[in-house]
Amino acid sequence: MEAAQFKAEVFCWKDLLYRLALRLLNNTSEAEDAVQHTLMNMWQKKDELNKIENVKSFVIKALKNDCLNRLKKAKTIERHQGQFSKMHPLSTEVSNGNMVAIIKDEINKLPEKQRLIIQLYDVEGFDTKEIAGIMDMDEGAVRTNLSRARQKVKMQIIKLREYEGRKL
Amino acid sequence: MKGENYDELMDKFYAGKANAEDISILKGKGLLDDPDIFYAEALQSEREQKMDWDFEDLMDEITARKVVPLPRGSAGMKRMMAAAAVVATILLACIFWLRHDNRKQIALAPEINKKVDPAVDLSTKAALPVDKVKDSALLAEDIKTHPPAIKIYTVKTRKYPPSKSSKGASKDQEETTAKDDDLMVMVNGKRITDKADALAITKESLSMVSRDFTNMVDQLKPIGQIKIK
Repeated sequence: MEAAQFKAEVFCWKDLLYRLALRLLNNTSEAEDAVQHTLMNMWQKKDELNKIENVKSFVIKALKNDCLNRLKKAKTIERHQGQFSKMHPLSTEVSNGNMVAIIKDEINKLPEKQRLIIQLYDVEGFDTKEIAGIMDMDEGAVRTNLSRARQKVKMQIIKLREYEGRKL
Repeated sequence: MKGENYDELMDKFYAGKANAEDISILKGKGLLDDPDIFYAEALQSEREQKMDWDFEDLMDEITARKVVPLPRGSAGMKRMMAAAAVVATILLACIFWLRHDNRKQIALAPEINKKVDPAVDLSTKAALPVDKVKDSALLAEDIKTHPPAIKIYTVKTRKYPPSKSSKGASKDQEETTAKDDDLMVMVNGKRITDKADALAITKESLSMVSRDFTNMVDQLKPIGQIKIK
């Protein structure tokens, strides 16, 4: 695979990979590192990539594994969740402007699997079959996890709005 | 409209692809409320996130770190080597386990009971001097024999194909060895194959035992004369 082909078939997904890494790692610099590391690995294997049927899924899988390794290694989940709670205490007034930020962080609080599914389905527009392939799950499980994740986020939004309504 | 279609419309809405008509249908059915709208807004802002990084930056990084593309088939070779390593480990483990198990079996080998030749008289009458022994119970007693202790040796053997001329001779030899093993008597660890020798040694040893026993009985006789006041 030549540089131009690599750019067209692999590098073009860098924004998608970045958003996915950001969703998993919850840290911009770590997400950038993960994407860079994954793309470098792909460059190393560029000759092997020609044999792979679905390069997009392969790259996403590689990034997912890289992110999960990072999370395991440094236990970044706890650290970043701690940072988040300091940054956004629940007593913050909920206006339509920061509601979006709160929802994003509510998504970040979801379990890893649900977070990834929401990201891939609702943000990136993947279909359930593709997600099932990436996540090594069956399509039914993907749909169940997606509806549970959406429900959880919606419930949090309702709770926040009720809390704000009582406060006012 | 079916439930599935509403689900599709909801997905369309979350994906930011729903038009005004779709939204009004969903709102009319009460499927769309404020949390959904906020959620869709959050997803939209999420889609706008981009990484400030160009392909040239990646290439510069690759040059700086001297990242070299792996040669074709190296991944396959790695997999093959890993598989070979696993197979070798399993084989070594099997060999080690089998050797360990063989040693156990040798140590737990069952004790072999020696067959005594029925022609050989092993009674006390044959061994003890009948005229000197006063106690008739002793003469009626059977001599108990114990099988000799079995020593276990591990011997390395090598099989050679028998030559045509020596085939019959080796068969005869095998038969005689088996017969000898049946008749074998061990005295003080010494192998005695001759029946006359075996009998003489047995008689001699038993007479020694009976002599000692008679002396002991004689020495104990004064005990009967002791009177307790």
